[in-house]
Amino acid sequence: MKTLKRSFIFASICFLLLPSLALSADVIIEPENEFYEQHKSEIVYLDRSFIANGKDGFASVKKAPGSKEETGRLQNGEKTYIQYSCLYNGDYWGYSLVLRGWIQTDQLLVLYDYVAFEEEHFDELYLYKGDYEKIKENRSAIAWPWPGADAPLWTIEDIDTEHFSVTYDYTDEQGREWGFITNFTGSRNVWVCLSEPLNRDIPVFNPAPEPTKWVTETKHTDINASGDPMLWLIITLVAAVVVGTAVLIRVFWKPNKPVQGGEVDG
Amino acid sequence: MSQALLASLGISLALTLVFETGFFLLTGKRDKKDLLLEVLVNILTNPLVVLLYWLTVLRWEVNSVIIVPLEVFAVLTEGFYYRKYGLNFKHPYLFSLAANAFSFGAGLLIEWLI
Repeated sequence: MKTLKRSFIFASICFLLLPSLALSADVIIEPENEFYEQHKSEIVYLDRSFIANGKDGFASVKKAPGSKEETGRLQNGEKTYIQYSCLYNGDYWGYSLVLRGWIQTDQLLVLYDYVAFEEEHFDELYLYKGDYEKIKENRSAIAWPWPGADAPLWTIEDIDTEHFSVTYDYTDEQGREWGFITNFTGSRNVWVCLSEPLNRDIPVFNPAPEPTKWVTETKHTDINASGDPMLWLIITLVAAVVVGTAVLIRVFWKPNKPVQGGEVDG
Repeated sequence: MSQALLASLGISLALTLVFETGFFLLTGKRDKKDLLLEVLVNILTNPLVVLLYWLTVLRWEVNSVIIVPLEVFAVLTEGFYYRKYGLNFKHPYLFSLAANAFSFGAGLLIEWLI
C-alpha cells in the first residue's frame, strides 16, 4: 500500500513536471565556464557563427579571455558557433559552446546570417498586417536563414496558425512577403516566405557574402579585474582586517615569557 | 569576480571558524581567552590566504599547488601566535598544524559532498 502511494506521488510529480520539461527545450544553455560564472552580468548573448581567421593559421581557444592557457585551436576556415561575447581589456572575445573556450574575435570572421540581414535591411522591415493566408492553407512552411538566401534550411511542419506569428516582415523586389520567426516550435531566428511558403526554388537574390570582421552593435562593459574598484576595496578590507586583528591581539594579550626549549607549558 | 571573491572570503572564514573552534573544543581545551585567541588568529590568516589564493590561481593562473605554501604560512603564523600569547598550548605548532589539517580536510569533504 505504501509502495503504491509512493508510486502515485512519483507519477504525480512527473506529470506536474512535464510542462517544465517541454519549456526547457527553449532555455538557452549556459556554459560551464569559470570566467562566464564570474562575469555573467557583463557577458552579452551573441548567437552567431564564425570561421577561424588567425594570423598563424588558426584561432586560439583559451579557458578565459586574456588567459595564457590554450585549451584548443580552430584551424583557419573551420566554423564555430559563438554563443556569448565580452569585452576584456579592450579586446572582444567570443565563447564557443562546442570548443568550451574563449576566442579573441579578431581571429574570427563572422558569417552572414539573420543578424547581418536585419542590419542591412533595417529600414525595410515592417510589422505584418496580413492573416497568414498561405500558411493557413499549407499548414507548413520552408524555413530560410534570410530572404533570398542560397539554400533553405528545413520545413516547419504542422503549423498551428492560432499560435503562429512573425516578429516583422520584409518584401523583396519581386513583391514576395517574408516573415521573421523568433521562435516557433524549435525554429529560432528563421525567415519564411509568407507569399510562397512551400517554394524551395525561390531564386537566390541575396547570396551570402564573404565572411567579414565582426563589429558589435551591442554595448559591452570592459571586464578588467586590475581596474575593478571593488577588487581593490576587498584587498584594502582584508589588509585592514589582518592589521586590525594583529593590533588587537598585541594590545589585549600579554606575551608569554620565553621558556627553555622554545615552547610554552600551559 | 569581486562578488564571487567576497562570497568565497565570507564562506571560507565562517567554515574555518566553525571547524577550528570545533577542533579546539574536541581537544579538551576550555580556556575562553585561548578560544578567543584562536578565533582572532584565524581571522588574521584565513582572509589573507583565501585572497592570495584567488589572486594567484584565478587572476595570474599560478598552479593551484600554491595552496601548499599558503597553508604552511597559515600554520606557522597561527603556531607563532599560540606560542607567544596562548595560555594552554603545550605544542602550539603541532596544534596549529592539526587544526588546519582538520579544517582543510573538512573543507575538502564538504566540497566532495556538494
